[in-house]
Amino acid sequence: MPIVGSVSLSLAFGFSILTLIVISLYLRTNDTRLMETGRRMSLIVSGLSLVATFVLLFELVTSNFDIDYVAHYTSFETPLLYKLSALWAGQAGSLLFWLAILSFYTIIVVLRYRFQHHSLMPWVIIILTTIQVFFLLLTVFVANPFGPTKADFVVQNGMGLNPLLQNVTMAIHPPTLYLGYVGFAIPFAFALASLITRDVNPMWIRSIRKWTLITWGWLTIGIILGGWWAYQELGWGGYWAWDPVENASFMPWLTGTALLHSIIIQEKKNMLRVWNMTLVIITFTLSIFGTFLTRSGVMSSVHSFAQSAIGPLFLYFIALILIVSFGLLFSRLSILKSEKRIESFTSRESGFLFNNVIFIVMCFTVFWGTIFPVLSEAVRGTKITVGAPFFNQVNIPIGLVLLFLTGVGPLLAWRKTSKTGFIRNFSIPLLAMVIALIVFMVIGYRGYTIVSFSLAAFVLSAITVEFARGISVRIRKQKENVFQALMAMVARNKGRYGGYVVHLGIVFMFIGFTGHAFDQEKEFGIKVGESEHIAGYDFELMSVQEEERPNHYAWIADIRVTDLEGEFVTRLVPEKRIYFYRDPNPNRQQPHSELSIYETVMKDIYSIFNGIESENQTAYFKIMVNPLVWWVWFGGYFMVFGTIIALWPNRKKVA
Amino acid sequence: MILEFFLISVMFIASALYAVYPLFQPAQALSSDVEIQETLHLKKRVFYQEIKELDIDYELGNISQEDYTIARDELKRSVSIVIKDIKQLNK
Amino acid sequence: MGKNKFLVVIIGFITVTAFWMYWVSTNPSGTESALIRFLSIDELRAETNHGRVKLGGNVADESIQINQNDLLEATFILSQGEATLPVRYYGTRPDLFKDGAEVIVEGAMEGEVFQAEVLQTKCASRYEGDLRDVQTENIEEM
Repeated sequence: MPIVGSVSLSLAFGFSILTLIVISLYLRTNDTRLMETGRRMSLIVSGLSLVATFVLLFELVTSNFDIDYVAHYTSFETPLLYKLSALWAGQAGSLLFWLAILSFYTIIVVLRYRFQHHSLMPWVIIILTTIQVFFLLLTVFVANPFGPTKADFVVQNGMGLNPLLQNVTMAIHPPTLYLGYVGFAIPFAFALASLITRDVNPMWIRSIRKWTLITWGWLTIGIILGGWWAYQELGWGGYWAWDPVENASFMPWLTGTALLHSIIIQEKKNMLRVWNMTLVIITFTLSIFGTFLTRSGVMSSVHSFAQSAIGPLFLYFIALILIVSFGLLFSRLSILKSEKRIESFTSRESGFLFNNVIFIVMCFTVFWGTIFPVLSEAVRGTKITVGAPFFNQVNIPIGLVLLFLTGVGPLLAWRKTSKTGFIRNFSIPLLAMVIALIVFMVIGYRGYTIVSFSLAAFVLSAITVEFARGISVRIRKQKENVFQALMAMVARNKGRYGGYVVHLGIVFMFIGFTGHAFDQEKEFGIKVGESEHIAGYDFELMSVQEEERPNHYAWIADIRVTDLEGEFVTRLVPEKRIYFYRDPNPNRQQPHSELSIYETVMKDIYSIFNGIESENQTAYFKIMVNPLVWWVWFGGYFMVFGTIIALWPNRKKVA
Repeated sequence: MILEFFLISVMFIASALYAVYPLFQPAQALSSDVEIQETLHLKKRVFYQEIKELDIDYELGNISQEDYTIARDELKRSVSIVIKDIKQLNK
Repeated sequence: MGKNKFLVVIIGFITVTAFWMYWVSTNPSGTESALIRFLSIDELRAETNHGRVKLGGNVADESIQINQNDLLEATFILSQGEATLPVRYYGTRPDLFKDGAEVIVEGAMEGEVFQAEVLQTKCASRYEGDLRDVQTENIEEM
């Protein structure tokens, strides 16, 4: 069966080249039959890529250890779900997975826009196919996932998947992230096509807005799930470490968010066209760059990068994208320039503009911090690592400015905010901010914490005011009740109000981030019956039980948590596990700490079982009390919910 | 092995036939009318949506009276052109 | 309103951020330092005046010693090919920490021992081992 997979890929490669030739011929001859053949070939390329992906999935599920990839990432004992998710556990598989998602999107685009964007579509297909060619090249010639096992013996069982990756979130986090990364290929293809054809018709930007939003939504979900996974599984008590893999997904998210905002200006005012093009190009490049960062080994060392086969290829591809795109953009500057200017600081246009500047600057700081170790090693020979303190210190103030703009932007009027409008819109939010400021100062908070909470109050009230204004207008004019007015208002303008719901989510997330300033932790060893005290809670170790389970051995601690008054709060049952504990090779034994977390709106109690010392029966734990983490996930739900509102299809009008 | 060979051949032949089929059709097989019509309807929807949004902004006081009148007239003019085009096409 | 005013604000913002980045990079706040040099053991030994640094390497086989009175305290030998360095670490150890594991430690020299404040194992999200090792073991067993 693997032969079917690798032949499918080779065939897809062949057809992809043909697609490029046939569509180029169409552009010369204008014979629509050639275009139709090109469309169909593009569908075939995508279809074959998907076939190859399904073949690999089949091999993974049926544990065909003659394939190197299958033997490396699964074993007989691996549960079905994780056999499937092994598709994106390794390099070759994840490249194929990238290709599969791109193919999936390509099929939708080719079918969906059959009768639209007549002049753009040939180029859109050419660009998408070119990207496919790159990934086909990689999977066919460089990192073939169907390669035979490199062993001169019969492989009895595979290596199995890292227990850390055996987690439902971890099984769905990469695909959502990839759906996000890869999706930016479509706005990119449309943008480039419009540059090539000198299409200044503003219609295509509307087609890509929806795509950008879908893609952005997936990326958002992917990033949040990644943080959630880190928090639930990795056991260091946080959800974001600014590691290169995380940054790789965060950068296109930042530029994508900027793009979502500035597209609105192009739609409404037909301004910022050059800027939008730039953003589309940068965002797509960053998503390729992200794949490169996570898959080429460049982060661990420049040397391992130089040895890896795919690293340099990725760099060439990125260079190609940048040269072609910016070359085109430059040559078309004259037709993109708009005569309109932003007239006032206090206009919504300028709000959007500043929002964009801040997103880009933030993205640059992350980019700089991410590549600095590589640059320093390449240039000076000594690698200088950039730690989380850098990213936190640099980005906290920028993030707070952004939070402030989240509140200000929607309250500004187009072109210019009048004085009366300013007073009407800003008085309540500003008042809320000042009250919050005073209250939190009296409580005794300091520094960024106060700023963050006060800004949160400002933005929350600003959004409330915005909703209230809309509702009151409807109640006055349409004689509706509050609920009807709300529903009708949102239904009439899903993009805008969906956006505000996303903003709400952002505010909640900032509240959660701020809670980080109050984290407390303690590491200690205790015997059964003893107790420890931290952050106003008592932790009494009730028992430690041992249990042998199908694929691991577990020590299960039972900790009783009580508050200062002695009231029962919760029981925590963290576990220490050893996977493959029967394996004769001790190197294969894999300890794993299963966390136990008590989550509430105000704070999480987070426990890790470090180990047990059998001689004098002392068990070691790390306990953390993390305030407000719940709000991060809560905000995440709002962001997803808001995105869904914005994407909700309009009811078809009866003609 | 034979099964796999068979599968691959079927896949290849089917794809090739599917791809070259349009080349043996008469040249005007694709109508550009459909395309134009789709685009016009898309435009119409977009303009209507924009008028709606403009109204909301005006009601909320996010846009001045003067700007509102100019923008609305312009959008209305665009819509009427699109509608005229659609009618023309349907004749 | 001219275009220039916007340009001034934007350039101002970028300049401030650039300075801020520079300041954060060069001024450690408390014990947390934003930029840390990543050295080899030989480079570390060659220096006399070194502050906080990062080292990467493998845990030498059978070198892990855990204090039986306090499981949180561990010492081990970090090896980079021929070069080796004793390391002491107090705290929760990552699950992947074991003989042969690729680790990164962050801390400073205290006498002859490297006192690590951070201990990370590499490849938390990836799991790429040597297939042959495992398999040959299995086969010998049969």
